[in-house]
Amino acid sequence: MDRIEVLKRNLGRVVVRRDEGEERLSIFTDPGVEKEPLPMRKANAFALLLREAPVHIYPEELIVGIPFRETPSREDPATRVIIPEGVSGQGYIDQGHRLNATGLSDEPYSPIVPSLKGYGVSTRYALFPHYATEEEIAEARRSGLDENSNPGHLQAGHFRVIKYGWSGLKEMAEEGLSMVDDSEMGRRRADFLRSVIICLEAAQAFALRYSELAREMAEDEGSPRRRGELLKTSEVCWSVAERAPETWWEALQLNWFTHLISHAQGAHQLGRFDQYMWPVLERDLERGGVTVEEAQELLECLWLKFCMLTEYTMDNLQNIILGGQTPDGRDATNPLSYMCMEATDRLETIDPKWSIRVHRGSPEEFLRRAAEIIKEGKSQPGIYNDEIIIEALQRIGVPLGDARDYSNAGCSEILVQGRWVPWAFEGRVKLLKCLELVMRRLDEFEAFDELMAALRDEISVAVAMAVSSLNLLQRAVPRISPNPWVSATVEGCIERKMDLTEGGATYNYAAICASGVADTADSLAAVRKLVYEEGVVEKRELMGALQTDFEGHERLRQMLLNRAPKFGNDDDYVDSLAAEIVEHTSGEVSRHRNPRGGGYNLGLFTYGDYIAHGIVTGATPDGRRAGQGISPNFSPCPGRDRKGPFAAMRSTAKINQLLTPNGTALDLMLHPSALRGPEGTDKLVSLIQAFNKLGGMQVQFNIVDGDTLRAAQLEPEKYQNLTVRLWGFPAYFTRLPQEFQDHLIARTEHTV
Amino acid sequence: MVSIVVTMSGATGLVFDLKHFAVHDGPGIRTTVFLKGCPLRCLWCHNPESQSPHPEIITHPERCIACGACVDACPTGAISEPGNIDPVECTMCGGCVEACYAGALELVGEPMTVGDVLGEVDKDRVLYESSGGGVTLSGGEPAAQPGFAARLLRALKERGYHTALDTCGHAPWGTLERLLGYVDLVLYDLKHMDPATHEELTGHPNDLILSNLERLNERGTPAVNVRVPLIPGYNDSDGHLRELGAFLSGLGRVDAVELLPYHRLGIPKYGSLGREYALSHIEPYEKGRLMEIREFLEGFGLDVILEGVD
Repeated sequence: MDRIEVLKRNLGRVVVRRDEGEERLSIFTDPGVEKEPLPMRKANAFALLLREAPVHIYPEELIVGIPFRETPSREDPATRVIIPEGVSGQGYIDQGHRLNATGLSDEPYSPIVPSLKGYGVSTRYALFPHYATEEEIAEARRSGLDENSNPGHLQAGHFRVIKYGWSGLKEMAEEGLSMVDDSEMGRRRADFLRSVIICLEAAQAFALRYSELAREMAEDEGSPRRRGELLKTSEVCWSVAERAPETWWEALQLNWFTHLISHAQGAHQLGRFDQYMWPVLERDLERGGVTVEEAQELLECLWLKFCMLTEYTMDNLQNIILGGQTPDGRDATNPLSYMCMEATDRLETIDPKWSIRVHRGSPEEFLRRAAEIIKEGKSQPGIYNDEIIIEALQRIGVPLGDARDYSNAGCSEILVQGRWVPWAFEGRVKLLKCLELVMRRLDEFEAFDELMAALRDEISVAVAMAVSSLNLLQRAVPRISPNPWVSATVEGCIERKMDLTEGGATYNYAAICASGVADTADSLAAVRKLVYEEGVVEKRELMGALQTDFEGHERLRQMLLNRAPKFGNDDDYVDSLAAEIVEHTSGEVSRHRNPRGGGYNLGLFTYGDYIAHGIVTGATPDGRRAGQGISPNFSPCPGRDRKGPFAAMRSTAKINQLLTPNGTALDLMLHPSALRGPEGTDKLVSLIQAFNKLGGMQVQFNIVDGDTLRAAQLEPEKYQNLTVRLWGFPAYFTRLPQEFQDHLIARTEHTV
Repeated sequence: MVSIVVTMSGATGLVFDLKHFAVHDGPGIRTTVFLKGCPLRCLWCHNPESQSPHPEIITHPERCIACGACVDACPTGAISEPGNIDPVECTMCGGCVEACYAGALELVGEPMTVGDVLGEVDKDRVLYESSGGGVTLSGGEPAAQPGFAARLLRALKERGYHTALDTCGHAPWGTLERLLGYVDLVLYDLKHMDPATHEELTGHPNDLILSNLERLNERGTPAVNVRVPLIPGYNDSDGHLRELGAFLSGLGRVDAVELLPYHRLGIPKYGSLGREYALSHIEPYEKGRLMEIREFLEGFGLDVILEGVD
């Protein structure tokens, strides 16, 4: 069996430990600790965590380091023992659902995602040692935060870590420390820089533990081949601790350690992996330090490490993005871009999640390779349109070179890699909920324009509420949970001597995500046409029908569903309403500022909340029943786009996507028969190119037919590897809750 | 009245479907315009609603909410219970379809002008450009609406689109030839080589179809792909395939032979039209058999495309 097979087999050998109680570590065992400033306590807790984390090397591993929630089994060291939430994540989906399934909410808005406590501010890795004072904890609790809270959808500055190494970053911090003065501000800066240095040193010590372990294992190893590998591993881990990476192996090991540690601190994404890793590989190849085959094997070893963090019912946000442009505007694809695709294709795993950036000069070969993998039904990659995204970033003031260095954040949001702390997804506006509220006053509006004006006002209020809630949170987080480790890596923090939670990063935008654009536009189109233009529906009748969830009004509901234009069919009547709503919402969002010194950007994302937002929204005049799910992300409502995938693309492209710098995503389902053979690949490439030409921002495909999904519901055991794309990541279909399965089946599969 | 006058001048055509993102009707990504009305009555036809040259009402009982609006809307009393239309009494006024919000009644066959069609087709221009696609005229039988087909094809050519004509070949040569000047690719259907069997299966013998194909071959342009629907037990015997292969390779100018294996997707439509489906006993092919047939025909030096497998 070759190495990759052994590693894959080990991955599957998981024992879920259910009943062993977790003993919480604490830094308060030493006297006088509580007098230290918060950042120092946090950093010391971080160091304690890394000191106490179990270390283990599985058979045949070349890239080493196990997740903190894992211990090797004593009986069989090839078996991984994981606590339950490390497997199922106590999923976002479950949580969002549970919190909302109480029925229709009369509360007008819950501007922050309700599952915030569990996810938006990441506490999923509830393993952090106790470090905060009782007063700090009490204050944090008022905002729903605790010692495990970190801003969600964070991205560590991986490119800086590879470039400078931990040691280089430490030197920067030390240099900064030598320059701070003795003022109050100077002391705060010094505390921050010290906290950064403690974290970097803790990481170095962590790597050295692995170096030591590998050397000890080498001594007991019978096979000369494996002994050599373990000695080499030991050397690599030592180098990683001491300096910037010089070899491909070192770079991969450093990337994994950095990711593993960051992952437990709320930073889950890898950014432009092919860009920051390629220079090291290129040098190593030129020098003859590694062959292409060895480099590929090492890369796949890393890929399988990412799979140790796979969660089945939620997005673990472990994203990389390939291709695109260099900061000086050249095509950025390189041999590593292809090696990454090769690894993903061959290993058939859903981690790492990956996407591609496409611009006018993207090589045909790159697009074709990506299209081939999409066609295989792997539900990856998502496609990002460079031309629109770079311009959208420039429009909000990001310099061109940095704009060209964007990557995706947690799911599909846009940020400049390694320099940007986003708060990308916590603030929400439910457009359809706004409309539901306005509809209760329908009889007050003489003309359709009055209804629109009322809706605009309602949206403005919802945006302001979401912003003020999110601003409260952004102020609260640094008072309970500074993040010195991720701050050590993100550009700007060491330079400004300020934690990322306080605004240390180079870019500090926050975002408001609006859901239900399609549903709201469909609703408005129906009211405009049937009530105001044709007069075939009475206002009172419609209001009554909505209040009673269409009880006794099924014919009216059918009229609303079938006799008014629907978003996604390239019909200006309804698409222009969607454009108007987005334009207004964008304007409102961008008026606001956040306490970290940045502005606000609009995104059109629902994430998994297309179910939850539906549950809290009553019947709406698009014919949707109370509680039914809404449109996912920036997509047409399930089953309502009937004129082919390009019509859906054209509808979305009518909305000016320069107004949504936080990102949008069109989710499309294509029937596999539409894309058979090499010609099918060409057609998919053409479709992607046409989408970009229209000015679409992001598109993601599901290549699967409804029959297969229905069959998988009936006989899940036969379809365990069936992968579908949810709101921004691939997931195993049969492991999803029923309502998510059904929602996917209801989406239109575009056939031929 | 929704009664439709398809004028002799061909200013208006009767279209029963307009399919965006069509990927099996010629090169690239295309828009396929389906004209209603066909001279043939192939037993396996998967678009039975395409056959009649008149608008038709089809039913989708699964969508019916039994509101009774169609009963109230019918001026002749042809509808005694929701969704159940007496074809003798029905005058095709379309009142019931208009009243049926649930979409359980559907009028198939929409009169469209050349401008209407262009309006739809132009939307996909970017897609034709990026994929090397264009527009395909299909049916029914486009040559059964010769005036409209010619006007539409000419307008498409004037816009610079790649055009394909999907025809069953059963039309006077002069009618077909009028269209060919505006066509880049002909998708020419051929069902059976034997005239008597052809008549049994389609309602007409094949002499006109074969002679038109020979003339098309002699004409030199446009390019021709011959499409053969493969119907298990009806036209897939070795003897027939041999005759077919010999004829097509003898023509010399056939660019490709597309095999369209029998499928059952059209069967529900017969129910919607209140018609019987003659071939319900047939099972679709196993992949292995299709590969055999392809290989067999390739033995004649033909370039064979196996739809749905390749």
